[in-house]
Amino acid sequence: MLRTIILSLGLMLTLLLSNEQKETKHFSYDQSLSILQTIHDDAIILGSGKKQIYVFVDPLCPHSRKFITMVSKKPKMLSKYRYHILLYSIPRLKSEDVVSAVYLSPNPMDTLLQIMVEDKVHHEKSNEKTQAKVSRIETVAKEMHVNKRPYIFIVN
Amino acid sequence: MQYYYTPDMNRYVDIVLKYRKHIISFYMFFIVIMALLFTPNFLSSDALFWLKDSKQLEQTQEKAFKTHHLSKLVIEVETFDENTRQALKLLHEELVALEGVEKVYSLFSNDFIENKKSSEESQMLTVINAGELDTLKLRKLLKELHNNYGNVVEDDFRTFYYFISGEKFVDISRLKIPGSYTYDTNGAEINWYFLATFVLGVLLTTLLIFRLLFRSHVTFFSAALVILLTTVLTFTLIVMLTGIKTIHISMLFITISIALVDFLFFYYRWHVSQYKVNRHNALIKMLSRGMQPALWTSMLTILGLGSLVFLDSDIIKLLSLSVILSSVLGYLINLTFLPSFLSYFNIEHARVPYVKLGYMLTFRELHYNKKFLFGFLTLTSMLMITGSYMIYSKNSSFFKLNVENEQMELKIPYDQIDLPFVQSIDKFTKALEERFEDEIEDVISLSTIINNLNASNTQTTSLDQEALAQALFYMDLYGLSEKYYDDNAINMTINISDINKVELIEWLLNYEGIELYFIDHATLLWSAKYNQTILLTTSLFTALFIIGLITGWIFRSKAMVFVGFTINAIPIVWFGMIVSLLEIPLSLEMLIAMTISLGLASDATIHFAFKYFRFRYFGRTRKHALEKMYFYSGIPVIIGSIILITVFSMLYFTGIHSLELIGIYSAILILLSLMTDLFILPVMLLLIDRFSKKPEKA
Repeated sequence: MLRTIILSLGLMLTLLLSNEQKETKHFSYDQSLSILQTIHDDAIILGSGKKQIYVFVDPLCPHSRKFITMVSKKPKMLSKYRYHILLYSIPRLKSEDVVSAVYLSPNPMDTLLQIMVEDKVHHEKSNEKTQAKVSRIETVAKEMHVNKRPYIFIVN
Repeated sequence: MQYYYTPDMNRYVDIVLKYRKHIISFYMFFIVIMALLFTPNFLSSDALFWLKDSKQLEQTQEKAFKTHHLSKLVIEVETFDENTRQALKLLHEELVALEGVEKVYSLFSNDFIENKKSSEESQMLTVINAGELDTLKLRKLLKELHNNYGNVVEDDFRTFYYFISGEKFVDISRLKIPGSYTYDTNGAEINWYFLATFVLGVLLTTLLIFRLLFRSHVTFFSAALVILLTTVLTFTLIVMLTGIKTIHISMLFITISIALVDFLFFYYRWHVSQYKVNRHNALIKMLSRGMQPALWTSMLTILGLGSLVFLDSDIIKLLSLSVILSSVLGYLINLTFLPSFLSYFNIEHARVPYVKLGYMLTFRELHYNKKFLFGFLTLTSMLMITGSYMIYSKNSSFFKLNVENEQMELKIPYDQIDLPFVQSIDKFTKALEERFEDEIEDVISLSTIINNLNASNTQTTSLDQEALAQALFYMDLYGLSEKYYDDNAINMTINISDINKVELIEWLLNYEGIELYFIDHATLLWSAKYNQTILLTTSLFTALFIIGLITGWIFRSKAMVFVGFTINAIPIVWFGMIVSLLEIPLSLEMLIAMTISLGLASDATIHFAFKYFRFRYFGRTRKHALEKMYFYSGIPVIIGSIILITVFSMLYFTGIHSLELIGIYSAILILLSLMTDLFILPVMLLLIDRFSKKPEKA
């Protein structure tokens, strides 16, 4: 009897906690913008438009690739918007070395486009500098509950 | 100038005979000069004509929004396989590439937004164009959506609809179209070659009718010349006086009808007066007996419709001027040109048709039943009151335009696409869909696409400023922005399934909260027609009262006010009842037909009453006066009506919707006018006959 009560309580507690986890507390617009500005310099810039967009992508994620391909091939999307691309890996895709390759390359934008648009994948072992960059982005992404790639944030 | 006065025309006829060559030459020269100096442009396109007075079009143009024509291509295919799909997709692309085409709405222009997926880490909002999907996927997708695209494809995938909007109606004859198709141009331009053939056919038929009735070619040629002169001078004078050059082709029929009937009153008198030795006798009779009533009919037209000339509407101005000028010019031509022309001819053994009919009607009508007459008049008055209520009541069901599977295009200007603006569009869209729940298929607007994109975006929930920014971004990404908005206005398309379009237009015009503009010609046209129709209906009712008053004044009789009003109103009221029973909406074509009928009925009233009272004044019995009235006025009215009914019925075969309607409505109205003239007018004249108080000779 006691075991049943303990098990039931345990189950209820699990359900309660799991429900709490689902209710992700989204940052307000101002909070998100403020936190994103802390990693402003870690972003790779694409486009020259007035409208600012922060985008979290994984270089090996198929939808991120589709997104980057689409925007990079449409002149209107490059002239109207300015993309601050933040590389944030999806764990199951194991893209950490690819992210490092981008950051370590002399021209990260070109390398990123080679990987994501032309499918020419580069790998590099990370160093402290890249790790620190990845870590800063990851911290912000987690705080913002970035749960998918590509994840976009448009500055009004 | 009372009805008992007989003018002495001997001297006038002598002068006409002396200068007849000059008179004929002058007219011929004059019409050539007028036609060269003031050439009107005849139009058959409803749109361009009615839109001249459109306030909505004026507002749309003020905002510099481009208007366009909408046409519909319907394609039927045997089976929808991969080859057919590719052919239909190719057709969509070819239509888009055609010169003058702005956009094509079809299954292949539709973009589908993929539904929300699970919590995958790699995901992106995806929009797929129907053209990118193969047959199987397309069928599956549309089935999943419970065929929300019924306006572009039927459930069985055998009928496809392409809505083409462009600067003009496109020529699709060179395109490779799979299966069979119909192309609805929604009021295209006239085929002038076809119209010329048609006019020739009408002329030959008229020649045949005149030949059969009068056994003489003089009738046809004199009629053709009088009508030609009247018509040319009427329209050139309209151009000269008003500066309005664009004239709708249907107005020709107003002039032809009035000129023909006026001519017949004069010609017929000449025709039946051929028995005397003096060949000038027929001309004297024609002028002395015809000029007074004809003058009064012209006066009646001027005074009855004259006020309409000053209304701020080109259409009504043109309609009333056509009637007034053709009546006045016809009168002058019948007094000058016709005697000059006819003086060259004489007719041996003049045949007079329908004489027996006049005697038969006289015999019957002399013993009319007052109860039946009063019963009929009471019923007509009740119908008139009901009709007025139906037209002017707020929830009028008299103006209807039922359309099926059509589109309507709107523009809504904006300063900035922000949340309050999108919410106002959303509110409007919802109100529209709620009001016309089953009658409209869907509304394609910025708010619908934004809501759909937001619903499929896993990154956003309710529509806030952030969600709106994302939706607008995805619209740019998938190239949807141009479809939904321009630099200063958003585009809205209403897909209509089955609706009374007039009701929808009225609802849109009365909606408060957003500023909207119609940009497709069909909608602008109907909105303009609707406004003009109410104005013209009011004008017609006013003209009826004025005609009644003037008729009373001409005969110095209060009772004639009632007769003048009633006889002109009866055909219109009964015609109104017929169209209400048949649920045919009141339209401008109907009102043009009513104007023609009014012009003819008022002529008949004056001529009949003139003859009847004249003979009664000179001491003839009621029977004799009625017989003479039928002989001298009844027969020209019967002949004129037969010819006009034939000509107007032939209009039904022109293939031009507007002319088809005018033709069929006019034919019915003229028939009703003829019935009224033959059966009601004589009885009413008998009823109000003030000479009956005096003892009658046997």
